[in-house]
Amino acid sequence: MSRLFVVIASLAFAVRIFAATGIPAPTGHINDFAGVLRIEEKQSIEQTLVSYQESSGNEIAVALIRSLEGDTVEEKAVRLFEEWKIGKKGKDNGVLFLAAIDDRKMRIEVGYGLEPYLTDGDAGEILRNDVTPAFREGKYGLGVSNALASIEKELSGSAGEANKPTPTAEQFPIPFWMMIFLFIYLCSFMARSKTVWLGGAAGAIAGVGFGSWLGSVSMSVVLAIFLSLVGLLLDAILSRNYEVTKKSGGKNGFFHTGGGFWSGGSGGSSGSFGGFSGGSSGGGGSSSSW
Amino acid sequence: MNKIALAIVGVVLLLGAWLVGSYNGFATQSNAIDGQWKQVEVQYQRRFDLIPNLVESVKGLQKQEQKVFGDIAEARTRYSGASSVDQKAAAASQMESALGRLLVIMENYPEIKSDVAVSRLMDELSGTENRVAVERRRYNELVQSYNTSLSIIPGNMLAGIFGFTRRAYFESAEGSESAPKVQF
Repeated sequence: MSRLFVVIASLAFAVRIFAATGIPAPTGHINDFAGVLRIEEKQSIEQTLVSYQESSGNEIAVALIRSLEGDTVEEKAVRLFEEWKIGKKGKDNGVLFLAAIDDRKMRIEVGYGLEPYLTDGDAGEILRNDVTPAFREGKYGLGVSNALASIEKELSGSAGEANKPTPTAEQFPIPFWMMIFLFIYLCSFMARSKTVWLGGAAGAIAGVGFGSWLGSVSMSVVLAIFLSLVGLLLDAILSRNYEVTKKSGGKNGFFHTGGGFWSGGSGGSSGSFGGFSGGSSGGGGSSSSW
Repeated sequence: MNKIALAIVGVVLLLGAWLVGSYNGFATQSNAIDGQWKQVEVQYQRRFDLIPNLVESVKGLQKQEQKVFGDIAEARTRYSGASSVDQKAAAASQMESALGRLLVIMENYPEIKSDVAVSRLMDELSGTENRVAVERRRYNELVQSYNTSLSIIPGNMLAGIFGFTRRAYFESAEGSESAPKVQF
C-alpha cells in the first residue's frame, strides 16, 4: 500500500516537474506571450520598468498570456513567480502582473518583501479601478500602464528597506570537491592494486568505525556488511577496468583511472535579457476578472 | 603494506564523509519541513487577525446566514486550544470551510460587496487563503521530497539506522471552497 503510494507520489511529482518546465523563460520585464500589445507600447513599458528598477531596486514583471490552460490564475501566478524569481534574493522585492486574455482573469502577485507596501487591498483596488475599465475596452497597453503607475505609487515608501531573508538550505560541512577528489584518489588506488579484497576490507572497517562513532553495535554490524559489499564491488570493477584500459593503451594516469564514472557539464542560460534576481513570493496580492 | 594502510584510511574517510553527508541531508530536509510548517502557521495567524474586522463589516447579513459566524468563532476557539499539529490543522480546515461559505454568501450581497472597505477586506481574506494554500503546497512538496529520499536506495537503509521516519502530508479540507490545489 505504502509502495503504491510512493509510486503515485513520484508520478505526480514527475507530472509537476513537466508542467513547471512548460513555463516560458522571461524575455524582458514585459512578456507579451498573447501578442496583444503594439510594439511601441511594449517598448515604452519596458523602458519604464527598467528605469524603475534602476531607481528603486524593485523588480516588476508583466506577463500577458492567452489562456490559463485549466490552472487557476493564483496557481499560474505563483508558479511563474517561482520560475522567474522576480525580485532580489533575500529582499524579495518583486511584483508580477499576470493577465490571461482569453480567460479574462488577472492577478497581481506580490513578493514577500513588498507585502507591507502593496497590500492585497491595494492590489485589488488597482485591478478594479485602473485595469478593469481599460481591459473591458480591449485597451491592454493602457490597462497595463495604469496598473504599473499605481503599483509604483504604492511602492514609493519601500525603496531600499524591504528586507525579509528567504529561508535557504544549509550547506553540508564537507566540501563537495574534497569528496570528489578523495573518491578519485581512492578509485585510482584500488584500480592499481591487484587484489579485490582490499575495497571490501576498507568498507568493513569504515562501517565499524562509523557505527561505533554513532554509539551502536547493531549499527556497526549493518554498516560494516553494507559498506564492505560496496567496497568489494567498487574494487572489483575498478581493477578490471584498469587492466582493460592498460591493455588497450588508453589513458591510465593516476587521475584518469577513476573508471569514467563521472561526467560533468551543466547547461548555461541564454537570451539577451539577464533575468530576475532570485526573489520569491508567497501568494500575496489579489486576483480579479474583467 | 604502507599502501594498504593509506588506502584504508582513504576509504574510511570517504565513507565517513558520505554517511555524514547522508545524515546531514536528512536532517536538513527535516528542518526545512519544520520551518515551512511555521510559515503555514504564520498565515493561519494572519487569517485569525483579519476576522474581527470582517465580522464588523458584514453585520448586514440576514439572520439565517449569521450561522457562519458561529462556525468561524468555534473554529477559532478550537485553534487556540489546539495542542498538537494535527489538532491545529483540523481547526484550520474547519475555519477554511466556514470562510469559504462566507465568501460565497457575500456574492449574494452586491450592496455590501461594493463598499470599498468591505471589498478591500475581501481582498485581504482571499489573499490570506491563497497564502495558506501556497505555503501548504510548499510544505507538502518538502515532505514529498523528504519522504522520497527516505524510501529510495540507499536512503531507506540509512534512514532506519539514523532514526528518521516519514512525515505526514497536509490534507486539505474536504469540499472547502478554497481548498488548495495539491494533487497526489
